[in-house]
Amino acid sequence: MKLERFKSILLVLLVISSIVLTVNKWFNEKLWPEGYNFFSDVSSRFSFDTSSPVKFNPNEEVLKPAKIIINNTGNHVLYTKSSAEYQSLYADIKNILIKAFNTDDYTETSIQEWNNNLKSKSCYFSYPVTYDYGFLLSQITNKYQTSSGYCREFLISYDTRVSSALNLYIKDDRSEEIVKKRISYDTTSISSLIEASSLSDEQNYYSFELNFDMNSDDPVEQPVTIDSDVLISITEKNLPLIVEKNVFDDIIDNSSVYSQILSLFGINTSTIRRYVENDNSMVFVENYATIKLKTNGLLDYKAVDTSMGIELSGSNSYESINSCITFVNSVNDALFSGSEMYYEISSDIADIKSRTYTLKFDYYIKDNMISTQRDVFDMDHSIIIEVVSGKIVSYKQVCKEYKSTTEVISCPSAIDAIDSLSTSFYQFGEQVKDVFMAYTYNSIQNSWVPCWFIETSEGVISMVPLMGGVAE
Amino acid sequence: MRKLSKVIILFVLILVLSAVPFMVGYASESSLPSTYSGTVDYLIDIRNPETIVSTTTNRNCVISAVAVKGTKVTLYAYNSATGAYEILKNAHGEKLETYVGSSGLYVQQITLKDGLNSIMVVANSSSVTYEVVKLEISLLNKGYMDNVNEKFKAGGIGVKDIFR
Repeated sequence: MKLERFKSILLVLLVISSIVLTVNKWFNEKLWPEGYNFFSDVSSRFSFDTSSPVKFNPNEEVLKPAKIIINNTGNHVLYTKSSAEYQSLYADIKNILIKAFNTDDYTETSIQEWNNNLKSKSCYFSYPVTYDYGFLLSQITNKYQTSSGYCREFLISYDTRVSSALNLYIKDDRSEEIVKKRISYDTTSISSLIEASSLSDEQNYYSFELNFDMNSDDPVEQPVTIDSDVLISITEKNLPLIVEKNVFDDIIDNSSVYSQILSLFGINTSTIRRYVENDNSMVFVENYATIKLKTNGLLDYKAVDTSMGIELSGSNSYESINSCITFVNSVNDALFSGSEMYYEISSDIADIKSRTYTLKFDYYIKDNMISTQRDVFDMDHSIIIEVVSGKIVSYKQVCKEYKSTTEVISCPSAIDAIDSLSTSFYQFGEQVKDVFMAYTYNSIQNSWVPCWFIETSEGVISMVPLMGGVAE
Repeated sequence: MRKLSKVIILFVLILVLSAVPFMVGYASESSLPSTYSGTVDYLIDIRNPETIVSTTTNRNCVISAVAVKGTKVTLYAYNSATGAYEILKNAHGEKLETYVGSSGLYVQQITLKDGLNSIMVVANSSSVTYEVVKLEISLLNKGYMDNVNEKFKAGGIGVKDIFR
């Protein structure tokens, strides 16, 4: 009798566990990699809980604004992550965003008002990529927020006669619409930071201030226009030369490095099969994935199937993205601990509604991007991760450590850089979307030198070498 | 024969003398008379300041323009003591003269003195082809603006406060 009762209890437990596991399987994972997945689609539709806090938020550094520009009646000073002023300003910016995101009141405004504020006392900041507005809200407020819109550029302005309130302007990156939020905030701190910036001798101007963003009726033909919000540096800059160190140099003899990488990717080093290719690249093969550590510095992980990748925690797209960036953090901490370089996201976090997406990142040093050697690695960014149904199925990363040297290179002004492009570039009334500086590899010097990059309306990024010649 | 050579020499002399003022313009003279004017009006289009007469509170003023490729742009400032325009120089003592490149874009920042600044922009494409644009930029001093702001804060500002 006792045995029968025990059997019944065991049977009930087994039935319950089978139901729980089946529901879990149906609602958390796609049954098919592509196509219609009823259960996971339904669950993701109802997965946003607006009251619960984000489970983890370790990615603030990666998701901070790329640049903060202090505008002080004609003066424009650019601050990037390496400066102390950036950190002070960001503390205020974060508080302002939290206040702004907790209020729904806003008014629509015009680009003229936006531009007028850029010319007076204000603080402009922009993120490196376009964010889903809801994602940014969730990151800043630590609560799930669903909201439509795409944001990248923000502007804080205040009236010098009113120290208890300011305006936050948000520009929609797709529709170009601008909204203004009035916020109660003590402006003492941010206004003192803005006043301090007037002491800087930087010479930067927005394209619209120089009226380079439009053609006029004057008989003098304007071969090229520059987007109105591009900040143009009109003075030369001095930047250090950069050298690299390949993490996979002599990788065969460096078991501590590859053991660390394998453990990060959840691979048991005692059971994995490995072999060495002709070029001394190491290949590790397990049942569901392959990792190649190439001698050129490329780490290449690939799952054999989209259902067999590295499981990321998080039940929705926002948490999954956070978890993915955390994974990248852990790899970078292991490979480049204490390094002066850092990385920033390069692919938009917009329109990501499921746990299937691709994230791209690039390395930065001294606030300038390291351009990826496309001819060597066959990729446009230094880190590319493909995630399918919350699992990393492909992970590629250039594993090189970049260090600045004491040798300094003088770079021409942005206008000189645009002039350096060949005349053929200007035959079609070309429009410049952005002008920025990045490091590019110089094989003659075997080092990385700063170069101007020019993004045109065709989406092409042209490179202007600093020393002689022109390349596109 | 001798008469013919005299005529030729005279003709050449007239040609050379008539070209002197143009050559002076192309060589970026350090000083130019206040009556100096151009020969063409298609070399340069000043974009900032947007008007010939302007007012600013910022001591650092940027002059931007679109010009024909290859044009040399030189900036001069009026000196009331000499009654002439004198070439502007940067902090290193270098003349503010620039050749415009393929983009046609020209930018130069200058430092204004208090009050009226008469700036002359000279754009040369050759010794005989040059355009002159004269700008009047007034720098309002900080004390003046502080006074206006104080009046605003006090709750009222009248016409006499602005023009005082």
